Amino acid sequence: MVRGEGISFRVGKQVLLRPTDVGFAKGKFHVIMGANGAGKSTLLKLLSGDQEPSAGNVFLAEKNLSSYSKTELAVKRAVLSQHYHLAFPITVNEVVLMGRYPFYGINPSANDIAICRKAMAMMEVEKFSERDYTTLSGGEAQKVQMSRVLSQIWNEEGSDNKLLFLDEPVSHLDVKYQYQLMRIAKAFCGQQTTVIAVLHDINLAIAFADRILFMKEGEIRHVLDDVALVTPAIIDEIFGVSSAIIHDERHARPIVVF
Amino acid sequence: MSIFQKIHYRTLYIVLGLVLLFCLLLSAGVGAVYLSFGEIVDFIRHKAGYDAAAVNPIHEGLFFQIRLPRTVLCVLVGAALSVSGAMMQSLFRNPIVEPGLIGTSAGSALGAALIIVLGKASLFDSISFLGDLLMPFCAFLGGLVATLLVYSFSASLNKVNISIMILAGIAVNAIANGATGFLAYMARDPQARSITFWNLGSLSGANWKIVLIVAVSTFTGLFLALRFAKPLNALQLGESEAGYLGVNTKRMKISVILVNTLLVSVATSMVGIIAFVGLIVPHFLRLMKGSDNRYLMIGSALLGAIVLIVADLVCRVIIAPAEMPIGIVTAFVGAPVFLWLLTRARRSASKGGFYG
Repeated sequence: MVRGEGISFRVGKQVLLRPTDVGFAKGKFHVIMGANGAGKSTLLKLLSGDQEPSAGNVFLAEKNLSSYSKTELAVKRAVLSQHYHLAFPITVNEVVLMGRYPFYGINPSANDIAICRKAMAMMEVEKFSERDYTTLSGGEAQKVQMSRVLSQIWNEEGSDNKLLFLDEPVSHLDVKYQYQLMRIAKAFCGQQTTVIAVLHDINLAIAFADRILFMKEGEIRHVLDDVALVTPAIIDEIFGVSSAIIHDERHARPIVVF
Repeated sequence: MSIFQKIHYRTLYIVLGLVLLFCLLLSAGVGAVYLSFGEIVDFIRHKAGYDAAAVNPIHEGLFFQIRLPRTVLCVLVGAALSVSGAMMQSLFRNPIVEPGLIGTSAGSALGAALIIVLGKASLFDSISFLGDLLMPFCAFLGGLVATLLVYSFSASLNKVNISIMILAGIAVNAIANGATGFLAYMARDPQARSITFWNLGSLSGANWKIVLIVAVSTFTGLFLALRFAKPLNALQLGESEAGYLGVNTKRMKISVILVNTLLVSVATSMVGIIAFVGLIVPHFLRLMKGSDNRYLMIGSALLGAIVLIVADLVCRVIIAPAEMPIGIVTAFVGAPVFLWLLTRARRSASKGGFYG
């Protein structure tokens, strides 16, 4: 679905991403992990088209990313960022409707509004649809943003393949909603949607990912196509902490304890 | 946000429209000579050729040649300044931005002052074919240069730095005001006086030609501003996020600054500097029903027109038969409102939002 060929990124003399070849298969849930400053967000920015790579090319559906217009991209891929700060009061409804901006001209269609409703119902935020976004708590705000992002890549009859980027999507959420958000992302993933997420919680990653990429010092060190193959050695190398891997019959996937 | 939240946008527009109509009639009637509502209706019927009821020809002339153009000019200038304020606040994502703060007004004033003083000098021979448009044109150039200067200083690394913006605004305003002051100093007396008077803003020079010029810039600007409402909304999420939603943020920023300069500079070149309208009008609208930019722009056009008509009315009656520059009134009313907003900001800062 999306592929980087020899992509690298530098700001001045500082290299944030070393030349990297990386591909992300369609319809899978890919998770990128790594310590702070490992280059995860940089890789995400290059793949999502927010930044141009200093060298190399990104291909989306076998077409160079730089040949897409902003609107062409906006109807194919959505990005959930870590932080949102809104300076002015605006209702939750209006924030979610922004997800449909790439799809309509002046007034939203009934379909656009229906999609926003469904996305909000899915994230359980309908009850504050009329509230001022700036008064929401961090977790509530994150769920509203997720609704917006989902409405942007909502699967409709005959629509194209979609791409969803999540940059630390659960950092403001409690455990219940962390799992809820991941389940919803996973459900989207099963259809025509590819998900690429940056996560910090290794167990959350193991529970949902089809594939984990471990980054360190601006490069991809390990790629696990079977997440059950994670080892204490990898975790030590990437995060610098010793750990044990527990295989428990109640869980299909292993659990990492530190 | 407030009780206004329950009111539909369209209802609010209609209410504002009716208030505006009332203010129009009031402004056209009140002054050194009082014209009743009935008289105004008669003038319009007479002009339209319906019936030749005994109208006072002097009063009719007063109405059509002085009162009406002045009132219409108030509507246009108030709308232009307020819509520009709303746009700039959204572009900078900051509630204290207005055309006066970011150099647009002072730059436009300098451009126009150049024409007042150097008017027929050879420097402008090459562009003198512009005729009546020469002054708005130079004001536009001056306003554009000043705004771009302030913006380029404050918006580095994808982020608007507000304290740098304010400081750059102060510096650019100082340069422009200094240059305008220099021109006033160099100028012969009548020109100098007109610069000083016009630095405080006045609508007393209104005539239909001016109305036409400002109408073209205001309607063009308002039409374009409405097209930017959606991308400006998206920009509230952040620059990268607006990009993810399909907005070409670089191009949009330049376009918004151009539209803003068009609105402010043409109005400024005709009526002088009128401060604070562009700041407080969008604020009140935000307090009423939030910050959807489409609502802000339509609402600013209506409420800005109302505010300026009332301010101009005050100027005309408060020391009648003399007249006060409108900039003094807007400053005396606008600045305290601004301070009140700042105390709100300070109080609600702990709660995380400017509007709390």
